[in-house]
Amino acid sequence: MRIFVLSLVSIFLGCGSSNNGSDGDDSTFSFGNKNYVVIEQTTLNTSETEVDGTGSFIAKDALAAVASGNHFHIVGTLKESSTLTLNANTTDSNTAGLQLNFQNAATVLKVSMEFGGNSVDLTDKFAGKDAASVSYHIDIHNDETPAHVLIWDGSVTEFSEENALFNSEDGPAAPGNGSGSFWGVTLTDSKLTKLVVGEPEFEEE
Amino acid sequence: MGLCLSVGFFFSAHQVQAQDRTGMKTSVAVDLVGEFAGNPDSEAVDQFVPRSIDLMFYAPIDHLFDGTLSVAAHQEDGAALVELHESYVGSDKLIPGLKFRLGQFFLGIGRLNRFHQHEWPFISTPIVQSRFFDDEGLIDSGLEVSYLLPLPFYLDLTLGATNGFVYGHAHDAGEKPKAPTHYLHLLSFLEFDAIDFQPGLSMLNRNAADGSKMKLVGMDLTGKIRSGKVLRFLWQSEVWQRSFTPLDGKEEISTGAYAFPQYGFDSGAEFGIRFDYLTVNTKKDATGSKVGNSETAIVPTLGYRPSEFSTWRMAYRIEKIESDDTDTIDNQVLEFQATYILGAHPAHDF
Repeated sequence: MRIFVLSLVSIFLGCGSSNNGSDGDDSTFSFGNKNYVVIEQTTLNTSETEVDGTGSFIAKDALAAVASGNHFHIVGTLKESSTLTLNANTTDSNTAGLQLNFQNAATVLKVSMEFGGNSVDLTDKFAGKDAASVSYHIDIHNDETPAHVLIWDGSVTEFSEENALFNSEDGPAAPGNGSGSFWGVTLTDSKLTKLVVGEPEFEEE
Repeated sequence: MGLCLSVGFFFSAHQVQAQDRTGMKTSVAVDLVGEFAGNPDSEAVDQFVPRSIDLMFYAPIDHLFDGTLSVAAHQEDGAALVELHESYVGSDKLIPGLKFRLGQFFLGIGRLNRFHQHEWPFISTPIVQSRFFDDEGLIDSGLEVSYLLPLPFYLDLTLGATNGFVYGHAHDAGEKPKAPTHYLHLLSFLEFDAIDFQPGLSMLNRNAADGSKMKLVGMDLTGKIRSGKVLRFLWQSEVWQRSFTPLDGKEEISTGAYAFPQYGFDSGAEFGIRFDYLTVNTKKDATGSKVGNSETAIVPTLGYRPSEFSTWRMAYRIEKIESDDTDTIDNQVLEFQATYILGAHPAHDF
């Protein structure tokens, strides 16, 4: 009887429109009709339309393979000093991925690419871009060595090398390849409003 | 511009060759392909382009050694990119039953890897070849030795070791690997009445600079029935399994295969169907549940080969990418190909 009552209480608590770390130990959530697994819960608040706070999570569905190419569309907002990181081809513990970091550093958007402790600064490629509002299309071809990374502005619809804000083939090169077949995001006091993964938009001829 | 220079250079060289007596032979192989969307979601580029133009020189260097040089022009970013394909010295005259190649070459493993793309019996690259090797085949520099083992049946053992700085498609020089790429190919030959078979077994190991390890094991089988000069029936297939372990990641095992039966008519026409399959055996979601997945293709191909110097083909590729956790991707492509060879033609392997 006691278990039944506790179950009813937990179901009732779980019916709210958002979840955060203090609600319980539920590690999965849905955002944009996709399921995610929380890896690190600090102050993450999740709903179907946005995720904000601090913590990290990975998509429940794996990528096609470790050596695969994928496209990501990431939209969010950054407070001053906050960061948003895309972890591509990461492991199921959200480690050893190829990271793309977006940081609002005193209203300047700082962007870097990181793998295995090696970081590459891309800030100059994003000069003049809004640091508080980020919207980017990102291709990560982890089936090339090192990974081929292209980043386009969120408004772009023709995904060519010419239209890219950054193309790692033109330098600087990616610092390696992601080691897993998952992908995820790490937020530090930031908000995510859109997250989409799909087939790579750019294909070598 | 580079392409024009190459072609111009070929014609100059070809005219010189016509006069020399060194035994040097030259050829240009042109591979024209087109692909057009067959369904609304098709990934076809709707273009007809020269996929590659191979300029080849080969000759005996002296009484012991032979030399080969081939340069290829490919379409890349809308321009012709000219690159060195093969440049090696070799011999089969030093020790009976033994031959070697030293330099840059297509690695002598499997079936497709040992042939230029314009010599393949179909237009597009099988899925397993594209994922595990490269759209064209693995090229690297090193040493490859083959020895016809002294046994009562045909068994040829090939061992090779190459730099391994890069593997497959790359735009830079790569990095020094933990160990050179090394491989083995065992090849036999069997005759049953009118049917000739060539079964092979391949293994390849790569320990890359980034600490990742890859192992490939594969079997290839080619069978032919000839009726006079007509290749009445061709069977070509390969099965490969790949183990890939990133430095800080988990082992990923994938299995892929293709099979291509083809019937040849007296007129030079031929019809075949290629079946492709690939799956990531170890694919799991973030909760640890196994995820079924496959990439498949069926490619009926109609060809016409009036001689060994030209081939005309059209095919329809029906590809599906299916996974338990994502929507099915359906890609249908209408393919065309015309290949022709100007000049001499190297001797055909089986």
